[in-house]
Amino acid sequence: MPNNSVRNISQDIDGEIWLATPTDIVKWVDTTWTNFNKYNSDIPTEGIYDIRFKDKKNMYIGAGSGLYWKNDTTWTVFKRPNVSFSGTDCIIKIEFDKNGELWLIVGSGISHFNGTSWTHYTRQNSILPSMDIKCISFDKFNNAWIGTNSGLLIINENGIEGYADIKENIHTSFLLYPNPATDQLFISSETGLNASLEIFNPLGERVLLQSISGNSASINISSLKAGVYFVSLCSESGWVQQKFLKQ
Amino acid sequence: MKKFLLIFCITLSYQLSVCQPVNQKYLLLTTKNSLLQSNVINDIKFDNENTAWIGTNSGLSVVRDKSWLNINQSNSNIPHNTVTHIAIKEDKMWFAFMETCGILVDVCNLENGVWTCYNKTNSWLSAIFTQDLVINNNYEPLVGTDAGLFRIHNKIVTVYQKAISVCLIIQ
Repeated sequence: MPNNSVRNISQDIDGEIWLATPTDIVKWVDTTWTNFNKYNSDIPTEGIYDIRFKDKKNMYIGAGSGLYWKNDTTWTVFKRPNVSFSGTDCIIKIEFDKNGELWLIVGSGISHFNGTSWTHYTRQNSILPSMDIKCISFDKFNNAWIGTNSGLLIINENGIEGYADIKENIHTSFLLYPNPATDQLFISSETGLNASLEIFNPLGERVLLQSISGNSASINISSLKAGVYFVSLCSESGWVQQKFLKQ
Repeated sequence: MKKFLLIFCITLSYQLSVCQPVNQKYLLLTTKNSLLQSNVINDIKFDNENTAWIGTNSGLSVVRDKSWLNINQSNSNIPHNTVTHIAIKEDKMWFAFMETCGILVDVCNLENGVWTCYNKTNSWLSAIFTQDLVINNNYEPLVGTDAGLFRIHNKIVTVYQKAISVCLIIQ
C-alpha cells in the first residue's frame, strides 16, 4: 500500500479489486499488490479520488484535475474549458447508470455524459438543493437518486418512473403561461386548482406563497427579479412543479 | 432479509406522504415533505427488489414503493444514527456508521434482523472515518478508510496499511 487513505474501492469485470488512493491506483489480486502512478505507469495524474471500469477496455479515473478515460491504450481527459464542469474539475465519484451512461459527482454539482453530450446539474439550473453532493445511485427505472446535505433529489430526464400508484392520485398537469412572463403569470388546470402555490428561486428559497382555487388563477410576479423560478402547486392530492422565466 | 423486511414493513410501514411532480424531471425529498429522518443523505443503495436503503445522519430509511421504514437507535440495535456508507451484494448487506461528533467507526452486518458490528473496541477497525465500503466476490466487506483498507472475513478483521498488515479475531 502506497498510502493509508483509501478513497474508493472498485472491482473490474474480472472481480479484481482496485483502490483509489491520493497518489496511486492499487491493484490487489490475492497476495499481490501492484501500485500504478504517474511515475511508473501511463496513468497521467495524481490527486486520485475514484476509479471505475465500464468494461474490460474502458477505465475511468476521477481526480482533482479532471476525468481521465482510458479506452484500451488511449487516454482522453475531460476538464475545463473543454467540458463545463461546475466550478471545478474535481471529480469525486464516478457512477454508471442502468444504460451504462456516465454520471459524476463534481466539486459543486453533478455531470452526466450520455456518450454524446454533457448535462451539468447545478444549483443554478436545477433544483439541486446543495453543492455538497454525497452520493448517487440508480433504481431499476434508472431514476438517479442523489444524496446531498440538504435532501434527496431524484432526477430522470425522461420523467421520474416507478411511482404509478402515487401518480394516479395527483394532478395530471397544469398550464402555466406566458413563459417568459413579466408582471402576471396565469395558471389553469382542467382538474381544478384547490391548492397552495409556491414560487421558488434557483436557490430553493420561497419567494411567493398564494392559495388558489377554481380552474384558473393569476399570480402577480411584478415584485420578482428577472431570472428562472420554479412554480410548485401542492394540494392534498399531490404536487407538481414547472419552471418559468421572469423577464 | 425478505422476512425481516416483511415484518417491519407490515408493522411500521408509512404512506409515502410526499408531494411529487408528475412527468417532471426532478423530485426533491426533504424532512419537510417526506419521512426522511435527516436532510443529510450520506449514501443510497438498492437491493435486488428495488428497495432503497438510505443512510442519513439520523438513521437508516428503507423505502419500497409506498412503504417507508425508519431505523434508528430508538427502535433498533444500530450503534450510531449516522450511516455513512452502505454496501449490498445479493442478500448481503453491510453498513458503516460513525459516532456523531466522534471518532468511532462501526461497520455492521445486517442478517435476519440481527446487527453484528465491528469497531475499535472489538477489532482492529480503528479508522476515524470511512471513505468507501464494498462487498467483494467472496462476499467479504472491504472498508476503505483514512487509516488503510480493512477486510472482514469469518469475523476476522484484517488491516492493510502502508507499512504493516495485521489481524485480530473478534470474540
